[in-house]
Amino acid sequence: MNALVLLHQGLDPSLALEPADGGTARPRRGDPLAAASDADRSALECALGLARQVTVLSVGPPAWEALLDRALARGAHRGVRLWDDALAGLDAAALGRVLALAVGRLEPDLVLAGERGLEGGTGVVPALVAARLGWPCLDAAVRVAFEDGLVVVQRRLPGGRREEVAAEWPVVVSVARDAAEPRYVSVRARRAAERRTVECWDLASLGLDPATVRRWIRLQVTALDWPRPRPRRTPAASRSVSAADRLRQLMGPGPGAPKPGSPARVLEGDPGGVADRLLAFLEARGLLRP
Amino acid sequence: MPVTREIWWNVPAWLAIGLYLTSALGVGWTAWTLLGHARAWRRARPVGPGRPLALGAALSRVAIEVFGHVRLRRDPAAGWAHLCLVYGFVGLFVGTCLVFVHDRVVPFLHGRAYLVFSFLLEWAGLAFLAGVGWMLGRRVGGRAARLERSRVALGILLLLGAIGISGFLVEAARIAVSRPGFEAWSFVGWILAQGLVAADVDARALHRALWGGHAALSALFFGLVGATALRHLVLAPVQILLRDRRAVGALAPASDEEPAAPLAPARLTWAQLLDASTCVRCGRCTAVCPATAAGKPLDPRLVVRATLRAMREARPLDALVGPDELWACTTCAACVHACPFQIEVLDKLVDLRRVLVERGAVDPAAARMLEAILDRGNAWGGAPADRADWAAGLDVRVLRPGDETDVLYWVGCAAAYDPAARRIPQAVARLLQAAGVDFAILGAAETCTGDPARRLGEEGCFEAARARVVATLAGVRFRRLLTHCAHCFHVLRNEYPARDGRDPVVHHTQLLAELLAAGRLRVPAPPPSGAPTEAVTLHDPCYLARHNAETGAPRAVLKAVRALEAVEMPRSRAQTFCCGAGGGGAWVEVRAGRRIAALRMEEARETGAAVVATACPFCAVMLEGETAGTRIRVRDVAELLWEGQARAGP
Amino acid sequence: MWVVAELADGAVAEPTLEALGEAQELSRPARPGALAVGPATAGDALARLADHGAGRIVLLECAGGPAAPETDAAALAAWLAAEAREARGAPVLLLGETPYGRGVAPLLAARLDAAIAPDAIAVRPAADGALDVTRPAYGERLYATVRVAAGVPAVIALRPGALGVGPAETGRAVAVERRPAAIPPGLRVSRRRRVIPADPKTVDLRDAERIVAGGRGVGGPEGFRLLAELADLLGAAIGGSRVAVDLDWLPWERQIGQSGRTVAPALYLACGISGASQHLAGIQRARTIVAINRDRAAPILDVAHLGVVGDWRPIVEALAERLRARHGAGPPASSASP
Repeated sequence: MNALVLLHQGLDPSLALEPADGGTARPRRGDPLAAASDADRSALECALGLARQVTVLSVGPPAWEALLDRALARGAHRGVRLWDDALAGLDAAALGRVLALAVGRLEPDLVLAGERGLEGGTGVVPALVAARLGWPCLDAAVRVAFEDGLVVVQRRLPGGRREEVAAEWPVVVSVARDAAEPRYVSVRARRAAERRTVECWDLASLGLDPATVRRWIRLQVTALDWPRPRPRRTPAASRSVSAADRLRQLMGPGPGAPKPGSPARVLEGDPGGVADRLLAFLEARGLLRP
Repeated sequence: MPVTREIWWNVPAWLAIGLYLTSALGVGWTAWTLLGHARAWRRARPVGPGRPLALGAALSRVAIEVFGHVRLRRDPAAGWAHLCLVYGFVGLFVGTCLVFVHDRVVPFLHGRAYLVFSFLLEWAGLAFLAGVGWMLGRRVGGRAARLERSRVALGILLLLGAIGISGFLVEAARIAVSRPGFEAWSFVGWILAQGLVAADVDARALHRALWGGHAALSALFFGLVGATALRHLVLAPVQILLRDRRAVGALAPASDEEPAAPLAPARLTWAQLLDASTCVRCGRCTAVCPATAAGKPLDPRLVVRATLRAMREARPLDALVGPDELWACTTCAACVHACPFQIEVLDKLVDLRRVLVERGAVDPAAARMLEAILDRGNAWGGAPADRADWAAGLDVRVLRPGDETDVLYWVGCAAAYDPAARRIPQAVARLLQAAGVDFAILGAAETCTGDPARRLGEEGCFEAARARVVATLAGVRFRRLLTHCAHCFHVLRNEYPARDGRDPVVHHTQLLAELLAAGRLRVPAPPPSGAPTEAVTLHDPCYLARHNAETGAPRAVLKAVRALEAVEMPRSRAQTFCCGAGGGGAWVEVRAGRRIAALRMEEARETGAAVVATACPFCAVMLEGETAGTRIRVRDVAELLWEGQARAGP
Repeated sequence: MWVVAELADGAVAEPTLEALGEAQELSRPARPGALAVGPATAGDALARLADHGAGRIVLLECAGGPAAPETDAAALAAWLAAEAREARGAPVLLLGETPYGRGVAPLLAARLDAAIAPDAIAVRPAADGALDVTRPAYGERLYATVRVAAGVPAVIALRPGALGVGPAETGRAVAVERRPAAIPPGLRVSRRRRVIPADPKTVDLRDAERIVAGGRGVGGPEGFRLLAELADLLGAAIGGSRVAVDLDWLPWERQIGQSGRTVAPALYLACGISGASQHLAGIQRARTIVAINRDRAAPILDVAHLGVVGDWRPIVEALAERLRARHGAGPPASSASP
């Protein structure tokens, strides 16, 4: 079983950002770039647990070599970095196509990627890669396993439930942040690890040229600015309903932080009566299942 | 009758030969077992630098401990009992040697010399028996919780008691035969002899039998010295002589060979094996360990015993000590400080941690912390650019590479990133400005000193962090390095390359005390009533009070705040009880028992103080987390001094 | 402009209605179309999309059974490709970013060679017929605006709940066009195998739908046993405040609060918890808070949606008794609905 892990490096959003020209943002001066996101590291850990041969692939500039080195020190067997200046500023659609070609070259049985990157956080690139390859994509996996000749993942559903989804390999799996705890590799172990060099590929090695790749871009990021409140529609209640009910419809029950001092109904009295009224309250809110 | 004693009276030749033979056997057995230990030490690693043998100082240390029992008397009752026992034993032993000299070399024990000799020996014997008796009583009565129930230990005490008592009885029997008047100076023997006479016992036969018995027991004793904890009779002076002169708690670098391999005894240093051989299992280490007190699975005594077992059974140490025990340690070094021989429990524990870390077997919270130190330069994962946020509005100079300042204020990560600790550098900065000190900070160029990484056992991470800091410091010029964090202080002072010729690192309490004494900082005026309004108790940080023996400076600063009256907690100064943050404890909590900080806060509450003063941001944060439901304020001494000044007005 | 409709439990999912509302705004004066893949019986549900602004409703009929995003996307793309050959302009598709939407959107985008803009919270027309889509970036700290040029096909997945559902306007009927779903052969799909229900006893508190929690007022482990009975009857998980964990009445994984778990259940029932701020910080996102406390001035009663002043024990016993009577012999169906 050969696995390929897609790694990506980005700005850590918890660092302070400031908007820059050209519709991008930049970190405040002096902040280092982050390493791979937690989800990517989880993906690598899953791969190391499942596959005999693990390759890591990244589309990034030479500065990303450290990212791949660290993945190799964690136990990956082969590292590939694909870069050409034309690859800067690709959107998800174009990146998906480029990666799909690279994956085709490497012919793994299983492709793993973190569910969400650090900065863009769209999480669609693994699915796009799968779509271009014609492979199924199993996303948001919290557990990845082989069972009965299939790749089986578990996903979270609301309420603590899990959903099991399976597909035949080859398949793309996007892995949630907490699917696996990345192992710690000590600094000394990293230094001592056999320094397998990272292979560098360029567009020519995939049979592409910059113009083709740039034609694949479908979106341009035009602005990056601070969040502002945006209007949200509410259903205006129909006139046939009383004013009190209209208010009630507009105001909840819904998510919201409990505000101190907001009026709450308070019950008192004999336990039986209180229990009855409490149950009625829960039932009205749909919190009791028949 | 001449005033002396016939040495071999009533002792037939065969019995004398028996004495020499059995004694030789006993001594031989001891020598053989001790040689076995020594062979294991020789196979071990050599120690690193930090152990130059300043012979004079070392010898005086031995003398102080052997004859003064300074460390042992921290437990006063046990210490004095042991002192009596030792003096008694030494007295009796010297007496026996003198008898030998009198018999074989030059007879001098006549007349007054003999009387004085006999008299003193009686007291030696009594002291010996008093010590033994007290210890037996403590064991049998079950009142010493830190002692283990051990049949061997009980047997040894009974043996010693038997030797002492039989010695007196031999004397009594001898006296009973002729009862010369001058023997009344041997008053114990004299009184016992009266009894023997009254009981109409065959004193000669009794004497011979007792003499043989006494000889046999003594020979047994000689033999047991090597095989049991009595080993410390020989090894303790050696251990005290050769023990590391590094500061308590300063760790040695890791060895370079396979770091993740099992920790075989040969991979420890000979010093670590020597002190494990010396351990008598008194349990003082366990009795002061904060993790043990909080119910965590750590037992320092077991770590030392496991080391000895590993050595004797030639097994790796990590097979004998479990990971849960290791991660609970806060590296407070109370165990090392409490040990009468200053056995380096901490070194062994950290070596075990190093093995686990190299294997990747660390708690995920610890792993995240270590990665943060490597990637972001601080254990909190905060942005480097935010480091100087605490100084907003305070007009503090930030050094650029190439700049120069008199005092470089090393702020550390805790105050930069933990909101609860931010007030500390704010107070220090204001005080320094008030005193007109020329100081500056490094701002975003500061990075972690690597202390948490080293305590957790990640030497590689520590070395990387240290290299970064050394490079940063090399880029600026300064005369003194100031820090308010006890951990940074310890590491910068003891575990960084020496800054040849320049002033050592100074802790903020030390600098503040200096400024107060020199009059550069105004002592705040006393409160209007003249009397202190609140009680304050100082929580000494482990890394300041124990690791670096600094307990005076924080108190001097507190004394200047006359609105506060100082009360001491039972465990203060070098006996301070950890806040629980050390050794990675601020980030990784071993979920067992209670929080260590909660125990310390209970102790603080019992003093009735309204304020708990600290001298380290970690202590402040840990203790502040335990103030829910109380009215106690936790404040650094610098904050208290500043508050005092602000209150007193210009 | 088209909206991909998602059907759930025989009705149209709310995020689809949100998408439709947005599509209606953007395509004025024209009306957007609604597309869905599903069984023939879905037609009635889809017809109601006319009330929310759909000008044309197309149902691609396929056999029943669990939908796989791969087949739905293939069918939709095939139909759209055929449609685009007839009509002008490139298709722009909006859909809600539900788990279904997340599965279908990238597949659609790949097949249509379209731009993909997931996690959108606003769509505005821009110059020259382009569209500006706003989505959160850098962990919600910034909003990124991406521009889709005119004539470029696009798939825009809207974050559920970001835009809200507008009012329904009854009175316009649109016939549902039914077409067969053209699924290419040899399509590789993923299969849902089963749903593993949550066991409220072992579910992580952060995922629990309902939580019964106890604090100092519960008094001891034996009190928690009574709470556990109530929790079983409600299909809830058990949690506690820091006090309860410190006193060893509960294991530490059950601690709720700033230094424990932050929870967001549909129901949070607190017994004997006073409501220290560090505890309230952990239950801010609970949708309904019911608190029982003897002390009228307990802070938790200020934030509870329903407060009860009284001793918790008889009230809990009464509740349990009534719930047992309601459900007959055993506890209700688990909180999972397949």
